[in-house]
Amino acid sequence: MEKENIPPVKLNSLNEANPPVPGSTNKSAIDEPSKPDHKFTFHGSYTQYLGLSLYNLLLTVVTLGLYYPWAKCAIRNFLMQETEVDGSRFEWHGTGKEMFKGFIKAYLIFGTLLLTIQFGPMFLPPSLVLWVIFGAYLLLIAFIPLAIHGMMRYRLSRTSLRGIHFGYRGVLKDFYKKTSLDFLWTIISFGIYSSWLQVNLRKYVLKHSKYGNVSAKFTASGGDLFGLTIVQSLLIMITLYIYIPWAIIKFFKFYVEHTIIIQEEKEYQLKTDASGGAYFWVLIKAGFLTIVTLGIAGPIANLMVHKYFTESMSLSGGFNFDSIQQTETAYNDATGDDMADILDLDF
Amino acid sequence: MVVKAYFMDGKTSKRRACELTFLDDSISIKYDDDALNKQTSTWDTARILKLDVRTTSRTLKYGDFPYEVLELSTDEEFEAIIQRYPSALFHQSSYNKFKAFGWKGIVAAAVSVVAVSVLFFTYGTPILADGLARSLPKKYEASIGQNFRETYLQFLTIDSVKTAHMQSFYNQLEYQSEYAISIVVVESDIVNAFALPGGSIVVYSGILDRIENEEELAGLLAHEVSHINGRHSLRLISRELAMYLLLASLTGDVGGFSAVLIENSNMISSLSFSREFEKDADLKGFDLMVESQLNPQGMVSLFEKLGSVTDSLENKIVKELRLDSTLTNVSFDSTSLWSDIPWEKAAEVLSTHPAPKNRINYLKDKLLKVNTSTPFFVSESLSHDFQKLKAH
Repeated sequence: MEKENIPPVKLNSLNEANPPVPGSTNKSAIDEPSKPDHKFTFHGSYTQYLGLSLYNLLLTVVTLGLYYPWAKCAIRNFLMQETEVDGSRFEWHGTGKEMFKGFIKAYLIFGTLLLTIQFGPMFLPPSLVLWVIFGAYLLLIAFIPLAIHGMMRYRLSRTSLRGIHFGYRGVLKDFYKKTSLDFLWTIISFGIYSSWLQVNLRKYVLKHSKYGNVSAKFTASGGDLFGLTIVQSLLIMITLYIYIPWAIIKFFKFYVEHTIIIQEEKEYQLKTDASGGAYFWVLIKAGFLTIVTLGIAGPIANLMVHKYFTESMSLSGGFNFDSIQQTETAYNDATGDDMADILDLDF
Repeated sequence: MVVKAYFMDGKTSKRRACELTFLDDSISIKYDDDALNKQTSTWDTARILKLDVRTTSRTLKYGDFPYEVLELSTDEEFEAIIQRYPSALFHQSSYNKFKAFGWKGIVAAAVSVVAVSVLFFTYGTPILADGLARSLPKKYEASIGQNFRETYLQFLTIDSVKTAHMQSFYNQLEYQSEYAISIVVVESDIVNAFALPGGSIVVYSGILDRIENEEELAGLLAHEVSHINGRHSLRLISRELAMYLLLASLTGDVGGFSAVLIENSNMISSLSFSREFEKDADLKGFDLMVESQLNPQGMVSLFEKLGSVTDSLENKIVKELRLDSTLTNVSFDSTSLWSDIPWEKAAEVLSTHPAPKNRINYLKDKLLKVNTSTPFFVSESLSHDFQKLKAH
């Protein structure tokens, strides 16, 4: 790939003139053809990732799972530090200790609920089983906004680029108010309404996400996602599932390309050049590698996919990485992040 | 040594060219501010943020939030800083030490993961789970059994006359048990019987049709009572629970494929757990018969007979419910042509029950050691109940 050739700001340009003074000369529109896009590049070594994953797994097994938060933290350190945009690497500031505290809290809450669902039928009187399990599922759903809120607050606050921290300013009460009806409709409609739910969740979350004085928004509508879902599902069925990688890319593009980054009231487009065909080959290679190594190279396969998605992304060239002001404060409660992990939520 | 790098002050993202000078315990950073005034920031090496995972990144962070940031231009320069402060804490972590071993470390970690997992699967979880099961009060165990019984029996028809005779038959056997044993006979052609935690035994009328004498029925009940005495169902459930908890905490960062592999190995090991319990119930049940002056030959002939019964759909359902079905999960017909091929050994690995031949062999060995001077006998009232049970 071309990524090695074009780090947008080269580190050896030290002796050149300083970059433009923040906000002074910038007259960017959503696409500014004169300036090349800021490509995301990923430098992580497959061997190191395999080693790190095995090291984590060993310590997790030996400690009966207690090491898991530290393992997760180390993986995030690796993934963030190896991701570069405009010549700078992302940084992860979370610590294993913070994530351990969150992990314990999240497990106490969800562990109880999930164990009830899994093993309830064995231990509870039959007349109660249905009610208790129904209640446990309802509680699980009710916790989703809380988990997303906590995850975004922790994860964004603990991520930085060039010393400027990301942040999330959503208000939990508002989030519940705005989304509880959507959850209800999704349940009543047997999931048909989930396109609107997902888009509304994302709209709220992106609207309240910050990178210093830079903000974001999500521009798609629930109807857009619903239409896409219908068409892609049909294509998957017609092609006997072969189309799945292409469909995944369509959804990925949908989410990426409807994300707008706002800097000093100017809007910049997040882009991706991912294609179904290329992704299909990545999956074939990753799957083959996993199978011939009996799963041992699983982390390498995962990283191949991660690298593909990361490197497909870019941001409109007019965006100025040099003029961002620090605005966010530190936040260190990882409970929501661990809840989201247990629920397998990801944004 | 003077090195050129980029400095960010934590207030804005502006990347400023800077010069680094390395002092004994600190780094001096000289840069120009926006008004082109010379500025200096001095970093005490003890307050540089820790690099727990060293990657290809050449970034260092300093102090308290908002952090100052340094970006080095080349790998060599970054390495030179590490070498300049060998005892500083910011680049030391146990992972970084592991990383220094390269491929050797990776191979050693892979081997250790496999070894430790195998140890946990074979020794760790059974010991842990059995301890858990044993410490559970009997009252609670009985209520779990009661739930099972209610759930399961609502799909079946109870034969109340045979149930009464079965209970009377059992009471006369005088088997040793800390539990109040209660037996239910259900109407079904299926050849099966199983024990529930806390003292319930469910016997299908199909198995009664195959039983020919009092000793065989006594053998069946001895086997089931031994399951209850050994708390086998509960130990099986808690082993699964322990395994589930272990896997749930481990699979978080394991890829999908490995998770599937682990899931399957869990299933296989849980099958072999119950095989271990089956043998235990055979041997303990055998002893119960001898103690009650009943001829244990009955148990041997019962198993010889049932060895040829093939797996039924309902047995599979029973297995899925993780109930302790007793006798008939024999998926390979020992009397068929296949029996000359070592299929049976293969079947034993996967079946929940000892393969029939193996089972008959260890019971016959035990039979040889029984003191034959004690006379075995069947009382008249026992025979009476047995006849009632056999009557249609």
